Amino acid sequence: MSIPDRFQPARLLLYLSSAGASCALLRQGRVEQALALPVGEEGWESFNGLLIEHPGLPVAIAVDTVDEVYRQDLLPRARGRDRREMTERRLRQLIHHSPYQAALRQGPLNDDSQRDRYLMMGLSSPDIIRPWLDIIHIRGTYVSGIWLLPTLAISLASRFGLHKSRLLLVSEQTGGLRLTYLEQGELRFSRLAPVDSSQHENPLEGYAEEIERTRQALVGQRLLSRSDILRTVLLDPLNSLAGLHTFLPLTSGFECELIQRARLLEALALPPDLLTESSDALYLRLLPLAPADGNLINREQRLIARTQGLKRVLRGGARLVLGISALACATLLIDSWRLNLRATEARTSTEQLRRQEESLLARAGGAQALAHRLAAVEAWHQVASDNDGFQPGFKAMLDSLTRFPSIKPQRIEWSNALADGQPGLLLEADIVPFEGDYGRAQKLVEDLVADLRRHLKAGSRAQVAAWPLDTSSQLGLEGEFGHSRLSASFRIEVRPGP
Amino acid sequence: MKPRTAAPEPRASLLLLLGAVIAGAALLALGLAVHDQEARSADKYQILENQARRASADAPRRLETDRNQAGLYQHIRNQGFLGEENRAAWITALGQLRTEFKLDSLAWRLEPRALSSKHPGLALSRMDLTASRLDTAGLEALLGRLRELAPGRFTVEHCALNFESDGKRGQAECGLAWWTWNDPATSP
Repeated sequence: MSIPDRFQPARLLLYLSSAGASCALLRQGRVEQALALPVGEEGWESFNGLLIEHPGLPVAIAVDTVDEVYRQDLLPRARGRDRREMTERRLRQLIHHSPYQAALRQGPLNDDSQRDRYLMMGLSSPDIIRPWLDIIHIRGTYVSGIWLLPTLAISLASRFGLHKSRLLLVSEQTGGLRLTYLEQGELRFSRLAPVDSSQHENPLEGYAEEIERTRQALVGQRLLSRSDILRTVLLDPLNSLAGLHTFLPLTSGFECELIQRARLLEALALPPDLLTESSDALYLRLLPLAPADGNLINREQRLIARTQGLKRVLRGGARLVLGISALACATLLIDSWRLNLRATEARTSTEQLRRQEESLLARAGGAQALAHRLAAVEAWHQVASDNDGFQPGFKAMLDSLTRFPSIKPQRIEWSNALADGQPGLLLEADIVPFEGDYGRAQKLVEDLVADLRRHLKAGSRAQVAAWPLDTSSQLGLEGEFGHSRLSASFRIEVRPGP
Repeated sequence: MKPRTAAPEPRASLLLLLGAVIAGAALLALGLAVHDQEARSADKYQILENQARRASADAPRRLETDRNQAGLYQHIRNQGFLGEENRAAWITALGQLRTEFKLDSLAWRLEPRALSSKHPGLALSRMDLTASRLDTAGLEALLGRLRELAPGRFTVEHCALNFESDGKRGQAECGLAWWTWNDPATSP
């Protein structure tokens, strides 16, 4: 999984060849400040200056040299640590003379042998990179990766949709003509052909000869048969290879395709001024996209890069945390300031409103005196509501009794909370004289209740709570005549209306 | 050129991150504290402003109400409803009643004053009253006369008349509540 361009960490990109070097700065996924560096001390000094200008930036290196070694290999399928140990062991056997080596895994073998194809590669002579690594070390920064130029062709082919066929990528580099053979997007063979322009009047003839030599090498390695048409893609950032087409006719087994400057700029999102002098910047742009397992750095450099990467992540995290906190704090403080303004406005407005109210209420003795009087009246009404029950009911009861002289009251009680907690009026009375006519007594009580109902406040309820004789058929009844005085006591309850 | 040392352990960067987290948290806490304080202050003044606005808008209505209730307020004041209790005057009035109504006895018991939950500032003192040989009309008259004589506001909580055998007179037992009101806005 590759990191999207804009999230690629900043780094210095360095292209090295025996004929010169190029350097550029990768920042926020964009390649900037591409610079051609001369051979020798002058170039090293310029590079040193760049490192001083951009301290701490890691350096990614693309090496375009003839001192490169490639070996196709088949290894048992393995993952993780097992794969790493296995490939390291195999690399020590195959490329034992260089500390800069890598095993590029290319996919499974199409049989049942559970084996994967690997391209073992390395720098057979690290002399080309040594002075640059020294400068990097002196400047206290580190190498994030070293890639052979052909490994960068893999992502280039992918960008142009060339990863589903067999093709020969040809590009004119500072160090010569780079010829890279890919099968289904996998790197199979590459060579850097030195170009001697003195041998031909038209240098393109020399290029065509090298392409033919490469074709023969591919046939020799059985990567291609003699009758195969070789799709040849000419990368032409300087728009100088158009004439090469004529030297590579279809009749000679070549199917030529030209990718010129404009297409390259568009596909790789490069600034137009970047490919004006050399095509090195093309590969500098591809450096961040290089496959991780094609990285040649040794164990020590890998450890340093990992440590430095971790440090960068931690520092970035610290900056992010501080930035977010500062932003949140600033937002809160700005909002606090807004709230403070609002509070001040509210305070001013409150004072104005109070002054306005005071001036209005001044003729009534002021707000406090007015509030006192209103509250006093309200309290008075609260008490007054309590006083309604007693007098009207009590008086109506006494008045009714005067109209029934044969009823002798024993007790009249009014309470705002009778036994059941509700207000009411109770009458306990007797009928005197009573001659034992319970029917007449019942009638008299009914008349008294009817009289009460007529004279009580509307909504009040008067009812008999106890009759002189309970004649309900649902209850038993017993008594005796002869040993005691006959009595016709009864009880009436009056409840005020809602 | 003096070579710089090889890449050190990322301990310093880890400490830097830790420091940044602590500093960030402190910054955030500071911002939140200041914001919280200002938000509470703004809310408080907003509430006060709303109250003042309502009070100002309501002032004409209160003035009108006060004007309409001026007579009632005067009556309340004259009734002795406002301020402290005048217990001496109440008991003196009871003595006068006994003489006026030619009662054999008039017993009373007054409880300590207690605050009422009906209304802020409202307090009541309960009084039990027992009068002997009182006729039916007398009870009403007695309470009516007490209202005239005693400077205070009372309500009848309960009242019972236990008649003697003639059914015309009896012993009256009443429970009264004497009400007073002290303005809670000015009371300590």
